[in-house]
Amino acid sequence: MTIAIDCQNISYSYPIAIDNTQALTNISVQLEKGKFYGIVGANGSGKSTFCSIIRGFIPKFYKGTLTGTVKINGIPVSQLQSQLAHLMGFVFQNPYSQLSGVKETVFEEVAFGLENFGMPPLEIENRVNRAMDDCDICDLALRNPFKLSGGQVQRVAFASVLVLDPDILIIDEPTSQLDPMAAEKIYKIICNLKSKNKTILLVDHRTDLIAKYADEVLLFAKGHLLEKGTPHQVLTNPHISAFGVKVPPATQLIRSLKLSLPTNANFPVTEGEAVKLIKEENKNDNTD
Amino acid sequence: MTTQIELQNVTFQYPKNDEPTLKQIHLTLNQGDQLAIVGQNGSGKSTLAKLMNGLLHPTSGSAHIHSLDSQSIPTAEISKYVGYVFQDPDEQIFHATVAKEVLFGLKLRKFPKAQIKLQLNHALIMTGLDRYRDMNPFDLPPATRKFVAIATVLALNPDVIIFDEPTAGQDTFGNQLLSKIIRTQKKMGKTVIVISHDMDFVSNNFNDILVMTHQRILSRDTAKAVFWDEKLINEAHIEQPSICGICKHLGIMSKPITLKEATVAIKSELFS
Ligand SMILES: Nc1ncnc2c1ncn2[C@@H]1O[C@H](COP(=O)(O)OP(=O)(O)OP(=O)(O)O)[C@@H](O)[C@H]1O
Ligand SMILES: Nc1ncnc2c1ncn2[C@@H]1O[C@H](COP(=O)(O)OP(=O)(O)OP(=O)(O)O)[C@@H](O)[C@H]1O
Ligand SMILES: [Mg+2]
Ligand SMILES: [Mg+2]
Repeated sequence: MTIAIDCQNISYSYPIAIDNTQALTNISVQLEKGKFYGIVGANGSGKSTFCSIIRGFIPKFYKGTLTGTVKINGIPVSQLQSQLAHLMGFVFQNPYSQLSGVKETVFEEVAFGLENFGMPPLEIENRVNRAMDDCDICDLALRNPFKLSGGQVQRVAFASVLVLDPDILIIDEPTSQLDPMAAEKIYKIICNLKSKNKTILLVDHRTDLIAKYADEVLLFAKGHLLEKGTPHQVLTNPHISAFGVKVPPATQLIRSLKLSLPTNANFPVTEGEAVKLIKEENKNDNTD
Repeated sequence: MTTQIELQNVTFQYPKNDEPTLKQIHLTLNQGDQLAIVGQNGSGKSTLAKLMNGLLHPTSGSAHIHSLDSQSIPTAEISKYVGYVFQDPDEQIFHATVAKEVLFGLKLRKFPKAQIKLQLNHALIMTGLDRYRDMNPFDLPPATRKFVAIATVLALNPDVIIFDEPTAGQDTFGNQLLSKIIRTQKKMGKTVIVISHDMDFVSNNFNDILVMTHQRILSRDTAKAVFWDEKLINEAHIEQPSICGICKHLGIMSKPITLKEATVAIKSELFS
């Protein structure tokens, strides 16, 4: 087991805090290389702040009080400086924050990062085409990135990080404006990255997709990391709705059916698991 | 029944684009309609919304708001009839405090002072923003900022409100508050249009669904008809609400849409 991201005792307050509270309080967590972590929690629970600290944007661009340490592959983030851009990709919650503002076409926008890395043009073109194809934006290649629909901009933002092929990806709500088919596609792309031993941290309110695809879930509440565990462990906790997190619909349905489950059974969190369980119960019911 | 908005044979093309964004759209909204618009990214949902409130005008065809050609209504007057909550609230927010933001439209409308105060307070309370009234909207998190945009529109009390992706980025509390706002508008007899990619939210709150795909309207039908039409769903790049997906795999015949319906259907079709 290799630790990709190691956080110890992280606490942070923004310089001007709205409700005068810490944005994060005493977060310690180790994230393994090659795993896909889903991050859930209410609005304002600290998900984006956590991402920014791992990426080093806090304290680089934000003042405030930060304590604790973050190590990436064993090295403190503060010592990684420019290597960090190669090592770690970051998709902002607001897709417009991702746009360079200096490129006039989607193609150039997606190519921007690789250009900065000084990659040969032919390789850039190949990689950009592949990333645009993965994100279904080939038909937008020559369009102005500032004159797109909300979901189209979000795809461009994701593609512009995907194209960099970093070892670690931090992705803050990449599906918030995507149509359902595109949202699931993002998770499929991530699973493919995972098979290449990439480490992925993804924030989303879509607990159904997190349940289906993530290895582990981190639940944030009011700046605390409340729980870390498998989707079953975290998402079947009856209290998550009190923390603003949606109980996966499959779990809601099984609860609502009030089936008497075998005690050792995993409570379903995905559609597939719910279907399987109901079918088994149905069989038992008919043979009784 | 009063017709609030009528689009007839509308085609729309953004000036620098090679092809139209919308082609030959026909759509009628009557007073009290509660419509959800779903469909693929880039299919033209936001553009359609902007045609319905006169922010954009048809390249050909006609858009009528309250039987008036949308181009003939002065911009300041349109806010009496149709309010639009932008997909990106940052396009809509300009003022230094939440209260000033909401007051801006009210002052333009030249309501009496007492009424302005009443409608301001009402809008802030409905959106849960009362405690943030003196804060800069840009210091608020994005999900809360969306409610600032909603408050500016609610305050003006228009006949029709169009919410463009209000569910994006909201936690369950945000979604519950949205449901409540929509229910309240419905009770008041208002016309509500919500654009959303959250099929669970849509199926729980709406029964009149407009489905869009590239440049056009594919269908306008009940939730049951839309969410159990596999071909339509694939063509529009949407999905069945999770509950329907489970019922489909179980071979449930009665096409339930909500959790409650699904519970009843599974019990009666499989466990009776
Ligand atoms: N730039 C900032 N200045 C001051 N406070 C901030 C700033 N950004 C976030 N906060 C505050 O820090 C806390 C955590 O915010 P954060 O953005 O990390 O939450 P989140 O879980 O990502 O929420 P969301 O689901 O809305 O994206 C909140 O109380 C928020 O208001
Ligand atoms: N200002 C603009 N200039 C040129 N083209 C635009 C502009 N705004 C949108 N478009 C194009 O018009 C089409 C429809 O965009 P629109 O924003 O209406 O889609 P949408 O259905 O709301 O998508 P989403 O679900 O991503 O919000 C897209 O192809 C988009 O790129
Ligand atoms: Mg966030
Ligand atoms: Mg839109």
